[in-house]
Amino acid sequence: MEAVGDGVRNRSKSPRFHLRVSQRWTLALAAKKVVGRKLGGPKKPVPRSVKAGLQFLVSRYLENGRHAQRVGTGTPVYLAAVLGYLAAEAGGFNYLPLLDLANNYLPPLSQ
Amino acid sequence: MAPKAEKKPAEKKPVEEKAEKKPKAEKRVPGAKEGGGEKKGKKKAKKSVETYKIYIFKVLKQVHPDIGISSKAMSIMNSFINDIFEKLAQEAARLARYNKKPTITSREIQTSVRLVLPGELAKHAVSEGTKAVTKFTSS
Repeated sequence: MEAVGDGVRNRSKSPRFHLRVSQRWTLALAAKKVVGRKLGGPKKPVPRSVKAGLQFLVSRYLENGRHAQRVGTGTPVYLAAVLGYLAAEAGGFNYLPLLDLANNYLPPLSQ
Repeated sequence: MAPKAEKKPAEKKPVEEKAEKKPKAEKRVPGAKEGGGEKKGKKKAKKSVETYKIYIFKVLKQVHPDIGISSKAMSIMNSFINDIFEKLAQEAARLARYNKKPTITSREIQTSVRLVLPGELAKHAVSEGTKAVTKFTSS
């Protein structure tokens, strides 16, 4: 008899089960909204040379398969920086004194 | 391009030490685009010639805003950049192969710079590269 009574009491938990389901649904909707907001935001494409503060082109010359199968993301940035520095230095542009002045990147001196 | 618009084509006679750029040289760069991934080239219309000339000009304007550069000097600088690029790329590819890795990362480029460039040049080049990658990553 008591066992049957416990069974009945267990069955009486069905409204709680419904609440749990509704809570899950609410959380799912909230998460969907958040994700939607992030994904839906318009992102303007920014060139990588601007991101890195360089004048030389950050491009995919290495990715022709002639040198290696894969190329890391930082590789063209590093290479562009080195080539830009060498262009300034080897051209006799007196780049070195300006290195100390640069904080993040070299701004145009005409400003 | 703003630096091109500012500059006016003058006569061939150089004023003291200022060698101004010829207007013909400007036309040799058919709208090279900035940013990565868009330089695959269109074979349908005409083959666009890709050079480093506009970037060399940008660097020159950064360092010496009042000084120009002749077309022959620009060609020499362009050849120089291509040469250094090939040296560094081949050295990096060799390093990747020695370590049995299929990827060229910025670490390979850094080591290549140290191997290819002499002395203080390598030191400053590594500094410039590291700075650029750091700024790129944080942005």
